This record gives sequence, C-alpha cells and structure tokens, in this order.
Amino acid sequence: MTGRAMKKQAPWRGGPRPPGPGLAALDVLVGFVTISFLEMRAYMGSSALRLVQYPVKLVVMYFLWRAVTGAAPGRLGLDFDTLTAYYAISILIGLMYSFRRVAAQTEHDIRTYAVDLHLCRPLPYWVKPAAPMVLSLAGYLALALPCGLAAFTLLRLPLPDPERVLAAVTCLLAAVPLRFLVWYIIGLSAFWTEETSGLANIFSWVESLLSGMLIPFALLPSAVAAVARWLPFQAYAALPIEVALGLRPPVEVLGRVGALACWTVLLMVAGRAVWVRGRRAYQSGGG
Amino acid sequence: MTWREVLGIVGKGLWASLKAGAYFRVSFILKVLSGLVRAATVLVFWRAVLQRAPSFVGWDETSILVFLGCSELFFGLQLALVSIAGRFWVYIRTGYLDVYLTRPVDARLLVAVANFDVPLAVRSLPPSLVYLGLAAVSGWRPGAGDLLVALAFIVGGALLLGLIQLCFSLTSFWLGPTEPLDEFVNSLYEFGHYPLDTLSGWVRVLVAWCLGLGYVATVPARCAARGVTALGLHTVCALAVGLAGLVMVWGGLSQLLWVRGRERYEGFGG
Repeated sequence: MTGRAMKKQAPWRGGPRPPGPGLAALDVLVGFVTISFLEMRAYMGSSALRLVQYPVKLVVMYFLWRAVTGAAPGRLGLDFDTLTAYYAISILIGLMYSFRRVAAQTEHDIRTYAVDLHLCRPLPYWVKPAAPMVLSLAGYLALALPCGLAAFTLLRLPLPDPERVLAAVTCLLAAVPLRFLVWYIIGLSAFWTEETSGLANIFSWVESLLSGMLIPFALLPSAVAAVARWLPFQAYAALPIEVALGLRPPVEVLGRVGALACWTVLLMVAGRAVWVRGRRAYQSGGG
Repeated sequence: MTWREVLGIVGKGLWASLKAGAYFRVSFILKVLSGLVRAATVLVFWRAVLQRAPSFVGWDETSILVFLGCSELFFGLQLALVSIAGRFWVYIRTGYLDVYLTRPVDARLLVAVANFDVPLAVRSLPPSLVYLGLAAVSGWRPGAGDLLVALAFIVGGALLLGLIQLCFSLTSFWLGPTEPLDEFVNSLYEFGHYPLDTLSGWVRVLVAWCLGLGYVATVPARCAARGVTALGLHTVCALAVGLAGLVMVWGGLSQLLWVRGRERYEGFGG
C-alpha cells in the first residue's frame, strides 16, 4: 500500500470523517491517549509495583556504604549521610520506568509483525511505546515523592530544599525524551537482529555507570568521570541528585537542559534514519 | 515417572534452549559481550570502593573478586534454569497451567524445562573467568576441594532461591495476580550482588539465614576465597546442613502450596 493510499484511509475509530489529514491524526491521537489512560486506570496498581523494590535496594546500599565508610572514615570524599541520600534518590530514579520496555515492545512488534498494523495508521509508530511511558511516569511522580520523603524521614536525612527538588525534577523530566529515544533506537535494531536483549544489556550497564546511578561521579576514576560529565546521561541521575543534595548549583540544570535538547534533536534524526533504513530491511509477515 | 525420564526431559529442554540461542546468533554474541561490559562496569565500581577502603568487614580486593565470580556463576545458573519459578503465577493466573496439567509429567518441571535459557548461563562464564582470573593474579590459590564445595553451595543456593520464588508465585492460587510479590522477590536478587557481612543485626539474620540468601554468593565466596580448612570443617558442615534444612523447609512449603492450590484451581473459564 502506498503512503498516499494510507492517507486516504478513514481513522480506525470510525465515526464521521474529519476534514483533513492533520485533524484525522489528532483524532487518532486522542483515541490512543484515551485508551492508554483507561488502560492505566484499570491497572493503577501496576504503576506502583516497581516501587516495591525500593526498600530492599535501599537497605542493601545503606548497609554497604555504612560498612565502607566505617572502614575508611573520611577517605571517600563524601560522608555516609550524603552517600545514603545519594542512593535514596538514585534508586528512586532507577525505578522511574523500565525504559527497557520501550526497546522490548518495539522489538516484539517488529519480530511478530505487529508493526504492520501501526504502519496502516496515520500516526508514527513511536507513539505506541511512548504513550504508556508518559502515563506511567505521571503515576510514578505521584508515588515517588512520598516514597522519597518517607525514606529521608526514616533514615533521618536532612530534606532537600523545595527549589532544589523542583530543579532536579525538571532536569529528570527533560531527560525523558532522550532516554526514550535511545531505547527506541535499540528496539529498532530488531529490524536487523530480531532480538535486542544483548544490545539492551550492554547499554543498560554503560548507562548505569555513566549516568551516576551506580556510583557517584566523585568516587569514579577521574578519566571515567570526565567522559561521564561530557555525555548527556548524567542528566537523569548524577546531575539532579547532586543538585537536590546541594552539591551543584540549580542553575547548572539550565545549561544542561539546553545541551539535552541538542542531544535529543540529534537522536530524533538518528531514530528517523534508523526507522527509514529498518523499514527497507523489513519484510513484513509473509515477506 | 523415573529419574531417567526426568533427566531425558531436562536434557531435551537444555538442547532446545541451546538451539534457540544458536538461532539468534548475533544477539547471543551481544549477550556474551554484555556480560563482559557488565564485568567492566562492576570492576570500576569496586575499584572505586576498594581504592578508598582496601578492606571492609573482612573483605579485601581478592576476596571481593572471588565473591563477584561466585555471584556471576550463581546468577547465570539461577536465571538460566529456575528463574521461571518467579513467574509461575502467570501460568496460574492465565489458566495456561491447564495445558501442562494435561501432560503425564509434573507441570512444574515442564514449565521450568520450557523456559530454560542456557545462553544466560553461557553468558555468565566469561565474566566469572575474568573475576576469578583477576583474583588469581592478585594471589588467590584455591584448592580443588574448596572450589567443589563453593560450586555445591552455588547450586544449592540457586535451588533454594528458585523454591522461595516458587512459594511466592504459588500464592497466586489464592491471591490472583501476584506482581507485587514478584517484584519484591526479584528485588531480593540485590542481596546476591554484595557481601551480606555488611548487614547487621536482625536484618542479617533474616536475610542471610532465614531466607537463606547468604548461600547465594557470600558463603560460596567465603569457602572459595579462604578455603574450607581455614573456615573449619565443622563450620562448613553446619552451613551445608543449614542449606539442606532451608531447601527442605521451602521445598516442603512449595509442595504444600502446590497441592492445596491445585485443589482450589478452577482452570481456564472456571
């Protein structure tokens, strides 16, 4: 089916046909978001599920760093309270959304030819993995802040200033499109490899190190830390955490958001190129 | 059903899983590579820690490397062979269990065999060798007996964690979807990535000895790094008896839940 023929198709939702292709796309988008919202409402609890892991992961890191700082007092450059606060936020950020799901869903749709159905619709394919992510993030934000507050209170850590928290959340949210695009491109590699978990594993480990989620930049070897500070991954762990804890000024977020926008545009172009090339390689169900 | 038949089914499952891995060849190579990338990342983490604290709660650089090797082997084995135990509830909840109950073989065994992922075990070998090789470079000289004891604890630990996961999963007969429990049990894996000697008080008793997560990597690493003789034969025997006891307790509980749960199970459509 040609692109022109696809554009002539009526929207899938039925009902009166909107006057132009732009409105048709809008109509489908609204339908899509509505369905996703209903789905999220039906599975409201599942947004909170990942947060079940929070106390266990926090206990592990709390005791580890207590033992390490106890064995080498003053030699880490960061005190125990700062490290605990760092991991209390870092683990919470790590449970934000399983971005691997974006890659897994894209891979699944390509491997099972489910992507064919989306090619017939007047919406770009990426909306499908993006819609549940956006809705899940909304649920996460509502639950994560009380969880973080409870952890800080139980561990008797000083609470960060509200404006610092705001700057950190802004930075985190600004980094979401970038994270999505990276994982989406990994998922698109299924056009050639069919299975992407190996690539996803590689990236997730590199990401956890270079984002500061695994260990604070202050403890990393200087060469690795220098590379990490140059890359955009710090925007979704190290930078917001350090801003929230007062280790970096909130104004740094502004500069980083600008750089993030550049990286995001770059990845959008790359994603588009991979999609176009991938579709050429794609043979659909039955060839 | 005889043991020979059981072993035949397990063998077929392993072979099918290997063939599946061979089909997705590029991905398999990337998975192996990902194991090495993970090893590099983990080494950066521990290097950063150990440079500042060369020894903590009895763990130094060499013993941490041995610990990492044991942990890697454990997770390779566990994820490849019995990790489906944590997702068994999906079969109960969807009624898909019916398909397995119609066969003349234990449904739990069939589900496990159908989900073997041998490439995961293969993937864990190169990083384990890297860790253990680095430990050998820094002076670790294990005896064959120490290694065998450590390996036995790793296999026993994998079985134990599989049984714990299965017990939580089987509550699905009563509770319906048990995703929160699944997420919680999965988070227990975290205790296998760090030595449990860092824990203290009741948390340590609960995690290491009641749940038995000490057998995941801490106990095998102690046996392999220090040696059975240094630890004391009595200590190692006591640890082995403890592991056997825990396997019996969790195994018995899972059997009870399986029998009682099937009495309640209504299958697809009730």
